[in-house]
Amino acid sequence: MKRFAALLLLVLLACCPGAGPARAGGEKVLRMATTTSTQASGLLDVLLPAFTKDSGVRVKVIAKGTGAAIRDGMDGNVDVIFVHARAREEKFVRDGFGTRRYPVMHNDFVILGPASDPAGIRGLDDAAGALRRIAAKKALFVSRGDDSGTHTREQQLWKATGLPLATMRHTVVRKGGKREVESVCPAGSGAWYLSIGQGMGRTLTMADEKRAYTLSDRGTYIKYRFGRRVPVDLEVLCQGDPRLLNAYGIIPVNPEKHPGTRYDLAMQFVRWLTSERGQALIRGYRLLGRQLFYPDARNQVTGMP
Amino acid sequence: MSLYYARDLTRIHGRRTVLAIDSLDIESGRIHGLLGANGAGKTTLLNILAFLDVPTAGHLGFDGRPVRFSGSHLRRLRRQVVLVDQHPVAFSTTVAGNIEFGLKIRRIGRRQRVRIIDEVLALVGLEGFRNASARGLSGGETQRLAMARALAVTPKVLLCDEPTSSVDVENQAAIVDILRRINRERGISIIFTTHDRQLAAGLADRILYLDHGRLVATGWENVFSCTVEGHDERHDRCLLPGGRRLLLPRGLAPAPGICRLSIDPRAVQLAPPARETEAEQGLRGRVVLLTAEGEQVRMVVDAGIRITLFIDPARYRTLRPGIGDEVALAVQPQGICFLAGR
Amino acid sequence: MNFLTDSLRSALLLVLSRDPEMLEIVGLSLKVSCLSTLLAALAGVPLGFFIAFTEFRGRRLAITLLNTLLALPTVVIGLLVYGFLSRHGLLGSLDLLYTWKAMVIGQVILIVPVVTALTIAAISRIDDRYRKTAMTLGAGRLRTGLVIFREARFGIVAAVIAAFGRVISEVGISMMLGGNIRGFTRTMTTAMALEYDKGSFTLAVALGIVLMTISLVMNVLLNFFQGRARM
Repeated sequence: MKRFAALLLLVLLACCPGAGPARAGGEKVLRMATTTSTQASGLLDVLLPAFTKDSGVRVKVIAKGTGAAIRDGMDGNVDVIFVHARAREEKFVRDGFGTRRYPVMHNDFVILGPASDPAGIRGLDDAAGALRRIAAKKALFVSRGDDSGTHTREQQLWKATGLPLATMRHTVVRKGGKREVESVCPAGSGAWYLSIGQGMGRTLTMADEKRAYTLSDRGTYIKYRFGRRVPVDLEVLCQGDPRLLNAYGIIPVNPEKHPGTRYDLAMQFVRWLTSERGQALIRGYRLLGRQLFYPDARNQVTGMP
Repeated sequence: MSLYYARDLTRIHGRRTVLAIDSLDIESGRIHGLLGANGAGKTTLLNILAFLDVPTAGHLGFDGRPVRFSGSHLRRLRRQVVLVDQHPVAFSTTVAGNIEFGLKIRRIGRRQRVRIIDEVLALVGLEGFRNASARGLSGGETQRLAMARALAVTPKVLLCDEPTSSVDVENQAAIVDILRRINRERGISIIFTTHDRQLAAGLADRILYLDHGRLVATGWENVFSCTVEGHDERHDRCLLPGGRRLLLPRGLAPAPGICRLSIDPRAVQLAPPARETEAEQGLRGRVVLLTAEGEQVRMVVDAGIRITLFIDPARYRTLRPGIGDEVALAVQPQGICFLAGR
Repeated sequence: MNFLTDSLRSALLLVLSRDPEMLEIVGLSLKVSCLSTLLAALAGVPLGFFIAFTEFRGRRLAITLLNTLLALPTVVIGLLVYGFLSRHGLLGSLDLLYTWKAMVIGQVILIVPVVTALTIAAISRIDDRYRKTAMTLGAGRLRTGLVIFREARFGIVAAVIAAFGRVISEVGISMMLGGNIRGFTRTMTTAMALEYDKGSFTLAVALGIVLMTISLVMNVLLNFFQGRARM
């Protein structure tokens, strides 16, 4: 009976698509977790077909918030993660889930608001200062509040303002141990700080509807501002602060943690992305006539790992 | 005094004429029975008389005045007439609550309501059920509750659709008794439908016979299906249920086949014993029922079929027929009528 | 594979510790859903009553329309109401979008057909003899209506409970019109969707437990009243 069960399990495993050795003979598929904003920028639609053409590897993209994307990496649901939350990426590598973080490119965040600019932040290049004014005026501010890269950046900016902050804590039980998850927002923000827990696009339309300020990545903003029949009526009021730079990194999932992952394919993609060809494609990418991304890689991945 | 009168009253459902009454008069203070087979239009007529249904065409009068078929006028008339359904429903409250319903609508004070409830419950023999849930009553009890509910509002007319068809024998007797008493003691006019000749004969002062929506003839009860067999030189021959033959003057019967035939009770006579042999075209049978009915004596004779006839008291005294006696009947051809339809 | 047990354990911790954020979300959900249900009942029950109880031209059409509206997806309603309440929309000046009032508006539109159609069904189940009996005992239209209402009461309560069950568990309208703003328009369902996006499942599972408990209670009540209605 036991032997039969074991046999059954084996057969089931063999039938299961993507289960270890059974996959080797088939098509080469790389599973990548990335953020919704990366996918929404349209860059992947240029990069991935070119990569598939060069290497014969197809890439399956799972686009979520940064938190969920990293979580997919931690759970071994994907082979590689391509996100933009520096500190969390480094923690991901430190905790042994990823092998190493490879810088790929950067773009930037902007603080948007209605043309009437009730808090008077137009032209500031100090992001923290701009947020301080918004808080002082209690002007409406829409936060993504979804634990995404943009939300992470927003929280860092609020910390930089020096304003008193309220901290939300959740207890999460993982692998039998308890862990605290934190998020911050301005203290006493009451009715003007709207945390909506949704993607960038929804955040932009809500800020537009509510005549509110918000923090956005430039790519999504360009799409919603210039790429729609009914554009969002928001303007870039604050930009250029180094704190607003948004660096993208790519991290292969550690095969020692999750033996089922395709480290070989992941590294193949990393090498291609940081090569002159990948970097040139990034540099040349235009969204509605505007350059969105600036390549960061300096050919650091030439040899085999 | 006339309670209802109707002229050329028709009711059409879709394309079917369910009621077509040329002329109808109903007297006040008496018990009328509406007799007829299922689908004869009894319930439709009752609903119109209860002002719950409206005729398609024709005139209806109530209490000496013509009825206008407008909502508010009908609603006013409904205050004087109550219909008790064949299978009455009880509101989902107590027995007393059911009876109170009509009283509250008439804005009758609380103390008087309590008095009336006790009174009608006693009348129908449901004294012990005052605070019981009305949904828990049996069929016969529900029928009696419906009667009490109707009587509580002291109507001028009580209309009962098949009052005994859905209850057991014990309750049937009780209901017949209640109807008789309220007619006699309170002077409430009663109109009831039934397909039970026995009940109609026993309870009603006057019987109306409905056939396919038509009023056949007041008091005509003798309706039978028969087979027209053919004819000889002088007679048409008709086979009645039970195997009796009826000889009719040539030319009266329709073409051979199955048809329906009605015999006016007033056209049936007892043949004098001496001339029995001459009653060859007549029928023989035993007397099964004798009742005094107004000025006349009603007699029912079992001659294979049950034939009702009326005899005047003087003739009754001379002949002295008793129940069980064999008699010969003579049928006058002018009292025989072949009905449309099967 | 520890995932499910981990999530369940931390969720139960959250429920048992009566986490204030969770309670706030549950409270808001109940407030919005109860209000929607109340308003929809106030509109839908009389409407259902009217349609079931009166003969008028286009009655069949009205019933067909209602049954079609029953199947209307929440996102379609969300979109429609959004079009009206948006800053560029007809009622944009009222500044209702992304408030709990907007959610109530959408939810009421969602369940008025539910309440109406089920009320019609409940009343149609009541034997016509009740109407006849009330009328013959002298009741006018209003009083006759009250009799039917009384006889149909369990069915109508069941209709309202079913409608509540629909709104407490819907996510499309709450998300599109409420916007899932923390502390203002975050309901159980939108919070669950959000927490899933965040990749942290504790609160989502905790809210799922609460929501399923509420659904269970509702279904028990519904069964009870439907049972009574058939008696």
